[in-house]
Amino acid sequence: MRNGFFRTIVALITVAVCATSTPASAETFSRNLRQGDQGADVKALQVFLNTYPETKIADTGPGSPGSETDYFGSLTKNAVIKFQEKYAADILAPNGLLAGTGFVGVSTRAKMNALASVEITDQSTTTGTVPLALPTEGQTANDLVFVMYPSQYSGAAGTSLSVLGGGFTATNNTVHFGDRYAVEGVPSGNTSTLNFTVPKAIPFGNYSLSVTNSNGTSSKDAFFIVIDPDVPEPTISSVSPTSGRNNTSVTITGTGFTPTGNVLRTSQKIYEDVVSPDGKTITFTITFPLDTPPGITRAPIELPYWFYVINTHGVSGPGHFTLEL
Amino acid sequence: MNLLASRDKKLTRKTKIIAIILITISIVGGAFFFAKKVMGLGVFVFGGPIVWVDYCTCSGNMRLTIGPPVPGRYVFQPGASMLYLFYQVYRPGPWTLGGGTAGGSCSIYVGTGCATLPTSGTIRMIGTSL
Repeated sequence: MRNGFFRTIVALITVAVCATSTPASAETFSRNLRQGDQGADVKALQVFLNTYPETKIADTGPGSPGSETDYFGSLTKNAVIKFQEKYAADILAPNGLLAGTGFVGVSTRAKMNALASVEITDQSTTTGTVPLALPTEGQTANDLVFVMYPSQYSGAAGTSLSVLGGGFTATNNTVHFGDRYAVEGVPSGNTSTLNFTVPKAIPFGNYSLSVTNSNGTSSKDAFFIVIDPDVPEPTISSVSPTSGRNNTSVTITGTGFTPTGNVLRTSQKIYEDVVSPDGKTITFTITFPLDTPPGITRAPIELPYWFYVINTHGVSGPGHFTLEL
Repeated sequence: MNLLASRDKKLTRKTKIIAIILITISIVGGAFFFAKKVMGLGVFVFGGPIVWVDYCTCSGNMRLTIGPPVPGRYVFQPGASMLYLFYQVYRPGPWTLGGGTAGGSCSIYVGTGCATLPTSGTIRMIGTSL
């Protein structure tokens, strides 16, 4: 009976979790932790809690996904309480407790260590029996399999998504979200399109998108952002100035910019980890290698220069600047 | 209520973005099939990732090297080449789909003067991934 139940679970599409800088070993959390503690394991605790939407420490700033710290503060304590109450039967009840305490003791550590070594599973719209498997290390991109773009660049978990590209096999395509998550066993009816549902277990975040199958592995240039549907995506409301010469400093005004970690995808280059101290403005300098050389006469040109703000909240609409060279 | 309104707004915005993408693909894809019929008139089509960008400093334009499946080296001429979503055309990496016509040139400053780089035509319309 138990084997049959387990096989049923395995028959669902799985999301494979592989180790990152915080190894998911059986004893990842080896000491008790409480508010005020500091250390690498506190940071690992925050990363772990941010894996689940209901125990996320913060939306932005210190402790938020991607900005975890090594300090156990009040936000971390609150997230631990939520975790303990989520798994009350395993953590609180055996100790005669009715409410979470925020203290990461033996029972809490045992539950976290157990979950950290289990692969997240989720059911997608793809049917069929799919074995559990971790992404194969050492695979390099080749030209036989390529991803051009997804049908949309952001969406909530559970979104129906299409990936357009080439070299997809009839069965057993694995779509990778970054290095930690994957949807396996995705079929393709035409070698150029993969249709599947973004698994609900994938945390919010900006993921590279790639495909692996018997033909090889695609590059990781495409991306998809799993968004929190309750948080608005970034928007661009104005650009100042709207035109200018080379080396102009441009200020983008809008909403939904994160303090750090914004990516600016422009027509000419990608600016990584762009800051927005106030969440409403981003400033960057356009440097374009097309100035008129010395001694050369050339008619002036006006170059359309477009950009998008991308962060964990999603993708903005386009902003525009006219570069005068 | 605000959550539902916010979600509806997101869906509407996403629907618009998807519609724009599909329309762009249709336009460029339509141009692809139309151009295939007039290849003899010097019209070309291309589709693939931007592999390299040469900045033609003397002629004030750029030469894009497009990789397979339909590769080529074409001039992007400001003012003449129409840009479509997502406009990521001046850097390697994005996937493209587009078409153009014969003619055009790219010359680049080489320190003592200008040198002409070989090209296969000028882009008339190009859409890219993000």
